[in-house]
Amino acid sequence: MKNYLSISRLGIDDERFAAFEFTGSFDSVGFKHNFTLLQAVLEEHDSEYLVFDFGKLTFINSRAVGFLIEAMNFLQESNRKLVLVGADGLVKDVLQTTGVFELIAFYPSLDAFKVSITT
Amino acid sequence: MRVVRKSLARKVVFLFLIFAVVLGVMVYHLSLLLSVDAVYWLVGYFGLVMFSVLVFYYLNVIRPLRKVVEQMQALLLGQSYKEVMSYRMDEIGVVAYFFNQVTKSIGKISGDLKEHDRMLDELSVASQLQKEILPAQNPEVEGLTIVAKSKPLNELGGDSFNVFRTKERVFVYIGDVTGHGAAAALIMAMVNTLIGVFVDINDSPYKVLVDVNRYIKTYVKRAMFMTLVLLSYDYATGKISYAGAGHENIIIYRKKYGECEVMMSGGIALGMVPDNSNLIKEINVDLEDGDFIILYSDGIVDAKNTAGDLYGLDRLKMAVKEYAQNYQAAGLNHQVARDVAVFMGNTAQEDDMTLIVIQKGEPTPEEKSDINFSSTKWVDNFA
Repeated sequence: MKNYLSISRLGIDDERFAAFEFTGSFDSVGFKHNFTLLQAVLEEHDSEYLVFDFGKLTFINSRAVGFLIEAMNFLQESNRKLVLVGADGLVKDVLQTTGVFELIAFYPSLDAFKVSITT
Repeated sequence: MRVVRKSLARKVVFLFLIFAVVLGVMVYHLSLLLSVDAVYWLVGYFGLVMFSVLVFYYLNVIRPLRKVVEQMQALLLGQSYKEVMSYRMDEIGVVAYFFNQVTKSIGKISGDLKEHDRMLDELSVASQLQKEILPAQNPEVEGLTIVAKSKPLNELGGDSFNVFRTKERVFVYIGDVTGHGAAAALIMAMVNTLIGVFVDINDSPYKVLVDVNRYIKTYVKRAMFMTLVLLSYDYATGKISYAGAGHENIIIYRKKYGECEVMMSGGIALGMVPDNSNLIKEINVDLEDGDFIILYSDGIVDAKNTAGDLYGLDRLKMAVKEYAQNYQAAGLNHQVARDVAVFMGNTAQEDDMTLIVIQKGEPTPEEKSDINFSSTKWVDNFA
């Protein structure tokens, strides 16, 4: 099956957080193809917040949700936080339905998140 | 001549004999031309050269090649064989190296095949156990008609469902574990067992899910989780309520109005947090006789067609609305499943698919005789 997921770092000059943009379909295939990158994302950035921008994500399934929970737990061990921004439509529905938003902070956009950590 | 060709050594002996005959004839003719001493010296010198060639040939070709051939014969006859030690860089060395590499690969493949067979055996046992946990037949329940159908993606699915009856009520659940395979099947089995235990000591779906979650989170350390909806029906009062753990929405079809209502199952998936008591809640549903509740796994709404479009909740609602007025539970389940299959076309299934149709009221005799009524197995061919 073809991998339709790409992950890229957003070039933002703020040492408080590192942001990564997810594009495409975050399913089992996408997870498997990007596994090394996802691990590096979690381990190599030591800023207080790790932000995943899901604004360009079109699909997400339970495998990806499982990764988000693992990522959240991993970051919590070093007092860091995972933040989700930008998800809408089907992706937001899935995250809402599975209760992810009860555990992981969500903002409608990256700008909204930046405002929240500034105030 | 066929006997002579069996080995290099015999070939050499045969050639040597022919050479000896030719030499004999030569010596005879030479003896007519040269002195006897000269002939003897010539024969002796030639014989020495030939002997040296033979010895060299034996030590450097015949004997090392025999070693390789012996091990090859052992391999071909299924006997034990060993690596051929050779540091030669010539053709004999190449043959020996090739033999060693081939036998190494054969050994590895043989080991892999045995491991593969062992894993297949274990998967087969796990798959059989899982099949025995999930109900093969839809149960007969007083006051309700429940028709569940499931189609796992592979031998060990992540979807599960079951019906548990107590003296006062019946509990129905549908669940979906993260991933597939042995680990997901184990989680599914654990949750199924825990629900079966806790429905006997709790009178509400909410309490059951709080207890199940606490046990799951205690013993399952990996970030695996299970979305679930647990519904209960009280025989005496006819009251229906449910509690959700991050599962798909619930569809309610009311025959009086001919409309579908979508309700969020709510909550948070089992296994995400140690204590979910503040994150899930119990919701009551008022149904009249003939009304439907549809529970489904995400394999239904996430099913794709050849263009990559998702079946989606809207299509599911439309299918329910189209068929619910004219069918009972078994018929509705069949028609919705057929709608999904037609939508998918030749696209391969990518996730487990489970569809449970619950109707208030008991099945008619005609419905009970419907071939789609009893079995929980998804129909393979809707043609």
